[in-house]
Amino acid sequence: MIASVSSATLLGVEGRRVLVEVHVSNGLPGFTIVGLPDAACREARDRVRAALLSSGLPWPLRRVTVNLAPSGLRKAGSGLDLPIAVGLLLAVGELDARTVADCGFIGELGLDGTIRSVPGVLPLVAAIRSSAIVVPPAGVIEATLVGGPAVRSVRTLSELVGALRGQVPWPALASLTPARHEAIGEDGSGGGLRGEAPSRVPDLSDVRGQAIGRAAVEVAAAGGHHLVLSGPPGSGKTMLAERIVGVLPPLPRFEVLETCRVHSAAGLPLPEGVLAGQPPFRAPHHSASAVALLGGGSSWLRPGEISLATNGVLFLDELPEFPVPVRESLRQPLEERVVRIARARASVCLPAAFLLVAAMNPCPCGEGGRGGACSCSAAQLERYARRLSGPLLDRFDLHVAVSRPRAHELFSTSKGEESEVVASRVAAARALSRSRGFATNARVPSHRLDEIVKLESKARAMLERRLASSELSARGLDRIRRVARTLADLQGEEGPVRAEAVATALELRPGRRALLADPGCAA
Amino acid sequence: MSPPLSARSSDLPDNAYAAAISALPDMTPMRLLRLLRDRAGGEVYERLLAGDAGLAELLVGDAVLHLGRERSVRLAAARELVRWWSSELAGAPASKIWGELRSAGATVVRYGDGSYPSKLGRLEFPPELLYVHGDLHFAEAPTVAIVGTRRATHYGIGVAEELGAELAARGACIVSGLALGIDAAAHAGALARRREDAGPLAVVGGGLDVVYPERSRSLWARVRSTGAVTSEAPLGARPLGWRFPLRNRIIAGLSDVIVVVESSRQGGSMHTAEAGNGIGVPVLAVPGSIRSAQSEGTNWLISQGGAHLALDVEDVLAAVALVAGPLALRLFEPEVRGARPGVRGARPGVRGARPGVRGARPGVRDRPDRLRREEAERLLAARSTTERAVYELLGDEEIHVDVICERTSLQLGQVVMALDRLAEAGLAMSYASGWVRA
Repeated sequence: MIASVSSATLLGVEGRRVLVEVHVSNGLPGFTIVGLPDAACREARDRVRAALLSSGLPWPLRRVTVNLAPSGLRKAGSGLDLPIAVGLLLAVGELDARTVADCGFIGELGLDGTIRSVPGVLPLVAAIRSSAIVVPPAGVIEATLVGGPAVRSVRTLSELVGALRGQVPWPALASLTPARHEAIGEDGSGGGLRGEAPSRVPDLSDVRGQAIGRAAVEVAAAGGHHLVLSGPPGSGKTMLAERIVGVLPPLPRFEVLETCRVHSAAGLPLPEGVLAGQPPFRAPHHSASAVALLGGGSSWLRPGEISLATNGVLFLDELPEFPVPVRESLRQPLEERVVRIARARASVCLPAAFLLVAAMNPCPCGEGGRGGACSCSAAQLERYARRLSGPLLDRFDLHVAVSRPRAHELFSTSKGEESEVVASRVAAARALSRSRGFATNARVPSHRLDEIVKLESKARAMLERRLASSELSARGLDRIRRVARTLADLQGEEGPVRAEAVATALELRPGRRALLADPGCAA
Repeated sequence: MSPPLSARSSDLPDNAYAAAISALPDMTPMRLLRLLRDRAGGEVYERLLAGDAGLAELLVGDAVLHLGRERSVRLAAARELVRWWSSELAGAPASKIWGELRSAGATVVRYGDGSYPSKLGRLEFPPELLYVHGDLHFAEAPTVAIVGTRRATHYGIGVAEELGAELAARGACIVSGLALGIDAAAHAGALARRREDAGPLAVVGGGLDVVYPERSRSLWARVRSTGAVTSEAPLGARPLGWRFPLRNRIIAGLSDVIVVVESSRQGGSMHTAEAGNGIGVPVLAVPGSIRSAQSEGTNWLISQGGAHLALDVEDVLAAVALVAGPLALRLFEPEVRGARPGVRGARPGVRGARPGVRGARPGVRDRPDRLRREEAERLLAARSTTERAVYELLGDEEIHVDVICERTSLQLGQVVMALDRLAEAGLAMSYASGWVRA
């Protein structure tokens, strides 16, 4: 007697369809799982047996073989427990094959027959491509996001058998999900994406003064320019960075899905803000390992922080404190907007389209070499400067020194411009950039710059002067032009870029000399 | 025991043997002095090669050699050292060392040679051997050491550059250490206004082929090609910490006057000042804010009588005139010959020194900073009110654009435009964390 049930396993952030075949025959009683199961998957045998028995269902005292096809693909995790149990019930005739036709199953079994959640329900459901799908209660939201199959969910194995036999109705989805998700319709359509208050993002109006810092946040959001904020401790670098999310345009549905897929695959709850279209904000600590940041791991290939930040902001506070290999490993994802992770048995490509915002102190003690306040030695300052030079810093279009706010600014009651106002300018600027055929100005390739960023004669003269005095390199020039384009877009100017935008771009530019950096500066 | 005849060849000058000895591992300037003093390089070389125990007697007094222990222990250590050197010399003979020196373009000057800087004779322990890139004879002209901290402020950098330029334009030889900060600024200034008959002089801590710090490479090359870079350390020697106080004594020894521009209390420039005071070289210090850590050392020197005040180039010239005698006359020649236009066009006041005017009006000092102020006022008259308002806020310390926006109540765009025009006119300069007056 043979039965087969559809399910899926996770590889990176993608699901792969898996057919669970169960064969029950006469012979010495035994249970074998073949088809490259990992340890958690192989243990399914004991969970399935206990769950069946405690649900009052029969466990065949015969020879049982479970094949997970395609057999060359490694199966990870416990999500195949439920399809194995269902396949077994089909094979021994407890269930009718017609009841599970074109239905997929995902879920881990508890020894008492409870159906538990697994990471990656969203990509798994998307991969099965059946007309109906049974998922654990906690995975209902993710499954409905896919928007294809009819989503069903039950709490226990015995409930499932009753529902499949038609003895009891399927429980209402709303009764299974936490109260905050009651908006989800019975058919699973549209739910979760609407009617949710976005989690509160701090508003830009809390930032007092900081003309340059605010401009940098606005430009970074509008043009997708990576940003480094440097300044002494307490100058509000983190405060500014946290507010970028609030001025970014809301995510379109496919980007919400992509970001949710990564969170799902990482086994994290879907962030409410992202469900409401708010870009994600991830701020890993500098003790994070390369694997935590990029993703990986020996069997599961869990997505890392940069993938969790996809379509949103990755904030690296204390950038120089990140170990060099970790920092340097960011270069490829920054360039390609995906991260490739290769292992001996599998290689995956995870999304990593994030806006990088970094913060750093100007020197190890934070006071930036200022006489009296700074306690760093010359050698320390030099080491620090050297640690930061190099290819990663080259990826930042904006490098802004943030000043410590003055006392009267902190006490002033006048507020700065609100995020909403800035966000509308950002959205308008992005629309201009899209009308030229680029999602953001940061992604305009060098060979198109002449055509896309035309300069007024005064603006051109300003740049030529700096090129002549080798204050600006060719690469620096490209960056300035992209940022100047964004500044002009923010003003709603589509024509040639004016001198003021170029002067501001120069003020926001990276790689300006520090006092101690350049001994031959006078010559 | 007679040395093998093959140990010395007639094609090698005697300094080649001295160089080979100085390049031995664990050789220090003091040990070299003990070994070589009043002896021919070749002779010591042969005795070392032969493991002559008599040489150990010379080394017994060496400070690092178990000082304080009984003589027999130290003598044993010295013999051990000589044995080790003997085997090392066999691996790196004089001919090899000399070849390396030649291919590196370096020369060796030994105490007593005609080209050995005569001023170094004032030192208690003059360097026995100097490695030289370039031409040391510039040291015979009036020499002024301009030294200071690596962590200089804009103020210090500006003053060092100005002094370097002013003095170099008059034909003085600027001596410094090629460190970042004050040292580099002094030489950069000197190179910008160099006279054809004078050149800068740098004394470095490591070997001549070990450029340190790396960022000074271009400055190093320019000093070498227009003047000289010299060191007591053999080729390949790392610039280790213990070499710098010794290096500083050479800077002091080479100078007629020492000017400390900025230094903390513990800075290496304090050693230079101390060494200068020890051999009677006048030390001048540039005063600074009592709140600036970088002026703590210079202010302390002045208050303790360890240095005279240096308020401008005139003070330095007066000090040079006192010690250098007739040689210093060239510094007061009315015409500045061969002066090249200053590279720092941004500092109009520094250009065109006016010595003639000075001579004519004693008491009224045409100080460079006053000239600069006048020039700035002239330039400012042509600027818009916005630019003038922004300029008023600039000073020696970096000021952040946010602060300018706030104090002037101008929009960011207006401020950056004004700053750009000021920079174009040479009135402002931008740094990583703010703007300063040029």
